Amino acid sequence: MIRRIVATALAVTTTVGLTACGSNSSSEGSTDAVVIGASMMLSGQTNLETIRDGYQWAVDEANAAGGIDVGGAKRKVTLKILDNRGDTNTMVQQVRSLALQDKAAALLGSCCQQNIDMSAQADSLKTPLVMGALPIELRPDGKGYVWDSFQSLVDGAGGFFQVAATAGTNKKILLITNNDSQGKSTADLYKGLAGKAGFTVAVSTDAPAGTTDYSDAIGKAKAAGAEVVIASMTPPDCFAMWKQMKALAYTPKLAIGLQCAQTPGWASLGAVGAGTLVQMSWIRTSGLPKADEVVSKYSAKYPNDNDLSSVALGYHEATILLAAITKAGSTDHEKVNAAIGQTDLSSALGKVSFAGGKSATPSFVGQWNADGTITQVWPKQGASALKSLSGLA
Amino acid sequence: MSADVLVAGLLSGGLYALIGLGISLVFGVLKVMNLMHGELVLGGAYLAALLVGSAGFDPLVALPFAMLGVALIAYPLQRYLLTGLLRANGSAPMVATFGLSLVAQAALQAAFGTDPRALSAPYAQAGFTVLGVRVQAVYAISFALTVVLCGVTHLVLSRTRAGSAVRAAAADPTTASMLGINVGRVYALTLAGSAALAAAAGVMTGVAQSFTPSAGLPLLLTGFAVMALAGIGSVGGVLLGGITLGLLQSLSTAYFGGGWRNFVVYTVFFLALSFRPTGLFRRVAHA
Amino acid sequence: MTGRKDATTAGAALLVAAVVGLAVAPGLEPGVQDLGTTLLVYLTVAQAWNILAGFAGQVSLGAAAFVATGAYTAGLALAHTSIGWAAAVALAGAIAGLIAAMLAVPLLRLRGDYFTIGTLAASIAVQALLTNWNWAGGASGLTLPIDRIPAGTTLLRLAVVVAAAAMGLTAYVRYSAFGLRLGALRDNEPAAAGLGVAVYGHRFATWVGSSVLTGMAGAVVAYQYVAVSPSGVASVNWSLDAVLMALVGGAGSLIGPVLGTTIVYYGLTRMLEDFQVLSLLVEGTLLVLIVRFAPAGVLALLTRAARPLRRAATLPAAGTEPA
Repeated sequence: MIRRIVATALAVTTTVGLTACGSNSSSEGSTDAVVIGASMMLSGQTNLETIRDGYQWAVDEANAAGGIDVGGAKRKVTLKILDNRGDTNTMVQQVRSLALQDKAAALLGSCCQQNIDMSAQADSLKTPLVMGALPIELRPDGKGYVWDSFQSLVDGAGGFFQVAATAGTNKKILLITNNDSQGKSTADLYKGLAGKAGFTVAVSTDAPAGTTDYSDAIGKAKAAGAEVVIASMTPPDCFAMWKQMKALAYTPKLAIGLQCAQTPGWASLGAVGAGTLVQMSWIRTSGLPKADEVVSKYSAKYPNDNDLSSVALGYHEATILLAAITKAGSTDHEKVNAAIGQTDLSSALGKVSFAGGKSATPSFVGQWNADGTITQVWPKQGASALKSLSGLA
Repeated sequence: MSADVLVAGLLSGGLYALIGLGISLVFGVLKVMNLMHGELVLGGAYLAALLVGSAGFDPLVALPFAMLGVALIAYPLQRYLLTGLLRANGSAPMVATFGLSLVAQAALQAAFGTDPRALSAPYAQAGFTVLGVRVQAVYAISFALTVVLCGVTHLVLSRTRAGSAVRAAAADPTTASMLGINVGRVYALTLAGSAALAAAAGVMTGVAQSFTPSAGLPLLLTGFAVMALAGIGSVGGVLLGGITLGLLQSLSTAYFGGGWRNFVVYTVFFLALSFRPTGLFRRVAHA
Repeated sequence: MTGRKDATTAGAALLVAAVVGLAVAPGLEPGVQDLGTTLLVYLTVAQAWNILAGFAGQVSLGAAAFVATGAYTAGLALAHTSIGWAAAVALAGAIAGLIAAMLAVPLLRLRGDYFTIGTLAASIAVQALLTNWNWAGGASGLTLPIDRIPAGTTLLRLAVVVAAAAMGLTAYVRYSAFGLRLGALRDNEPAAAGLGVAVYGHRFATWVGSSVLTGMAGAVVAYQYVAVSPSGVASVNWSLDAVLMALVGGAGSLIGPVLGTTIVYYGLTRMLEDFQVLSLLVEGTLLVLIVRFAPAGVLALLTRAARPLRRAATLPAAGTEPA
């Protein structure tokens, strides 16, 4: 009896649910708001709510001013953001539905490898995509609908080696990266630049995301006497490796965590994480436009400069896009795309001017302190003196 | 190829064995692939995180409480939901555990957020040197814990009344229930025991590495790999299976580079399962 | 012979549905076309799983391996040769079938849950292999030549044809003597073998057939995604979704996966996309409830719920029918 009742209830709920869902989906899409879409990782292994807040900030600012000017008329902006849980399939399906069903005028990016997968969609849907959080060298060549305004790997690497030159090491490097495209490009780049800067790569290895045992790499680095660690990996992997370096008594003098130390979770490593260098596209001492406003508006929610840099990045991307829609005077994909190409403005990450779909923003090198804050150590303007790598000493 | 690497592989194998022990126990007794095993492991890590965070416990002190807590969650699930499905068609219990794993992920995400967490402890990044080999303390501790828990599990199964009831229910549930054994209760106790072992593995994983609510799948696969290498339902084999997996990972990283590690591990896992479904160590374990 | 009559009806209905699908495709909004393509891809993968698990009792968690094989085959074929996209779909099916035949040697030795984890392990090994295969783009994958792949109407029509093939094969399994023997094998292998059913031959044919369909669906995915990478097309989510969709609708039936795909993808994934935690919770709970209270899926529930209505409708006319 209970079985029958539950069974019927299930059937009825499903049917009613489906009918209800079917009817409300068709009533969306008002004609006068400009729709901007984004599919991002908001749960799962990586959480980009900081970038989302930056997007929302720019859009709220525009709407508070009565909307953006599109061909002489003020139009409100609707920002539609979907959570893809870090799943590539979900991301592709969401991007397609944002472009095709929600008729988004343009798209904003997610981060990292997802931005690469998303690029092909932007080209195939002929919908402009403005993104950051992907070093500009990694932006795939496509059909011209993808715009990346972010730091360049070369600038950041150059900055790192300038800092490293002052650190007093034996200039021997342990280079370890994930085996994805960002990891591989980073490895190639650092190998190339190391020689020019007078460093030698003593040990070079790669590891798939999710690796927890680094004793092989650490053992080789100890044997080779490498005093400089360059790691480009996902955060959980770095956490495991840093603990293991400490436990196995490997004591480098200088370490940088590309990607992986760029998380506020880094502070949960406590003392072990102190002194590790991190590459940033924004820092509060940078002197970039809006830097003070980023701090005053968001430092209560995100005390850490890493998070604040992502807020600044989100604001930066969204500003580029909104300005381009106004410049195009239309929400037509082709016109907006052409207008993005002619962008000439300065926003939270600095000056934007695209060449080949890329616009490099400044790079900064920061250093983690034991209390979970970050201090700028490069470039000189705004920088403090480099401290020792106390966490791994 | 240094001794450090071999030792590190061997010791991390202890942690893998602990993850695989619970999954193997459930499969041996209930004949069910428990797809929520990864979430049981995470449950232990998160419960310990609560105790470490709020009461300031050391993770090892929090460990028994985490084991008990996860076991208490698992017991009613088996007693009032999963056992009822065992009589149904083949894949029903496995699919139900998959459903429960999704529910558990949602619950963990809602309760704890998605940022990666780690359990801090003085031994998390400590190490010591034995005979010139550098050893990571947390893996040495988890290896010792695994050996103890494997021993306890073996003794409970072979020397106690409850253990003989479990073995009877595993061998022939119908006969066991005719002999007056409450098979439903035995099954629930088995899952609870497996959950407690999973939780212990979760606490050690949390100290040695880090965890997020969506990290269950790789943990589950580790458990399956250990079970496939070990042979199903044999406690001694599980320990050897875990060690084999740990060494396999270290050796493949050293010889082929880290990139090929997963390919080597899953190919060996697959071939071991296919050509020796009773496990590589079945005979060793029985001897 | 009602069996044959049912088979004819099912075949005719399928043909009509396919023709209607092909005919209305151009008139649909781009968003609806895209949704349709996605649904039909999932339907194909779920139906292929259904043939294997629902009818032959071999529960696989390896669908992702064949989605990936199909997607990479189509992608690499278009990137490196001059063959057309239609030929690439056929090639995708063929290569998926070939790989399935090779994997059959170790896999088909396994029974029950052992088979299930065997397929899972094989699929993760495939993902790891693709991640390291530098010629095929490694972890970042490869981008297909955009101007040589179908989109919009053509892509939807391709998805209709592939899904129709999956439905057709399922209908064959459902109504043929081959399917009857398969059912006997699923329910009692020793008895079926004793009655002379060629056990290995039947399991092999279902395994390869199911994989060919999944591989062809993979080619459609490659065209829709434009870029294929191991984290997408080889994701274990394909395998899990296939199980979820087929079981929710009703495994071992022809229509079940159709219902399941619609409910799970359109009713849950799409409608709850703003609420990821809730979506996980609903999917999980639904699965548990289905397995616990309605093991034959939503299809059986609907049939059962409709029965009293139908009886009420037919009672006055059919007075002679025994109560």
